[in-house]
Amino acid sequence: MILIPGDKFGEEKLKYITLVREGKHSALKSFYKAKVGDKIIAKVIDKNPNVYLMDINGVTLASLSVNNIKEKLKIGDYVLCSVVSVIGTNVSLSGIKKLDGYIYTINPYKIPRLIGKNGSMLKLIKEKLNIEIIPAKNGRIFLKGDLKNVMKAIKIIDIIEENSQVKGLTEYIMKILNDEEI
Amino acid sequence: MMKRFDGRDWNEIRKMEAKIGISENCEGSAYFRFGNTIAYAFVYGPKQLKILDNVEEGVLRVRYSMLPFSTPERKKSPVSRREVELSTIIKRVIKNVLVLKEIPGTVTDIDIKIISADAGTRTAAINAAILALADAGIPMKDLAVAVAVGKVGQRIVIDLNKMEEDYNSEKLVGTEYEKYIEYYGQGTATDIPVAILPSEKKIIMLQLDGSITEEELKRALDLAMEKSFEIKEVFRKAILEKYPEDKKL
Repeated sequence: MILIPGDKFGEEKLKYITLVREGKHSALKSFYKAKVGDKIIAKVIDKNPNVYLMDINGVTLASLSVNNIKEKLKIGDYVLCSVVSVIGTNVSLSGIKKLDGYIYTINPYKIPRLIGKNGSMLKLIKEKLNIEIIPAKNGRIFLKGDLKNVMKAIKIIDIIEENSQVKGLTEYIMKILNDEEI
Repeated sequence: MMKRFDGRDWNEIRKMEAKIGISENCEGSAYFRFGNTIAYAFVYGPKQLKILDNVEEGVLRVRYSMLPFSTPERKKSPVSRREVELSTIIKRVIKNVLVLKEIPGTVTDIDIKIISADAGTRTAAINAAILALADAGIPMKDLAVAVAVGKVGQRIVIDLNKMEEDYNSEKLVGTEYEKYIEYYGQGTATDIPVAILPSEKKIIMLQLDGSITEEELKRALDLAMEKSFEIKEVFRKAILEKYPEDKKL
């Protein structure tokens, strides 16, 4: 069921266009807001001797201290990070590793659907296409593997993003993965 | 039974149409239409504010503009005084609807374009802007709706069109519209655009242009309140159209 802002879900008044399923509710589309502990993929957009300025695909920018990452980074690099602190609009990160592969961006609120229940959807795509996928909380997805399979995965991610509210999506994805022809 | 200039009943709104997610180049977009009044709204952001002060609330920037071909006579392009005023009014309405405390230190741009004007542009503009904000996923208390009510001659009507807004019974004598004086009555028109939060039954904008008695104003506002739910259903339909649950894959 889809509810709109102003509708009531139990006692709570909803603020977003919301999908309600099995007693749980989640916004269908919104922007990413950094929370402490989130694993995200950030992009270097500027640097000075002490700190990298990072784009986290959210409402604010973030900073990554040079001491917090082993590798040297260039402008344009993508890095897997975790959020260390959020104070007002200041977000600071700690780097985990530099990513070398393909990056694809979707709406952050569609990431849970891509992962699926207990990671079922993600596991399915990984096994069938034999590629590495890291979905991050801020809507960026890291893909690595054979280019042909990566393109297939991107097509499937597009289908998931567009139809995240439709019932029976997992079965449909399973069907097209078995068909090979996409 | 006599009807209004365009054949509507006194409590009938012009044909409404709404659509969300019409553009891919911005976070949220929407289209809203009251008869011949058509408004488009685009939302960019929220994005980081350049000046990093202790900003506790999100900042809004609203730009309302009527395109040159929107009126029968070509409108000159520079930003007019009227457009600046309406931008401010729309901004105040939107400020009351959004939960700006949840997006501190950010700025959201809202761009509204009127491509066809036939009275009620500010109400159509507010409706389009609210839908575009909902499409962008910016937290809001409710989908606010805006509609104009008014008194034409002696009659309370909803959603006035241009002819009703310019109504003057004395000027109609001797023209082809003379017979309508019987329906509307003597006098001139009063236009009252209102914006409402339907879930709280709260009025968040009210403007009045003309003269009206207290008792008539109450009747007009009751009519607007009653009809606001009808408009909200149009909004709901537009949203469900974008996210169909039983789509065939």
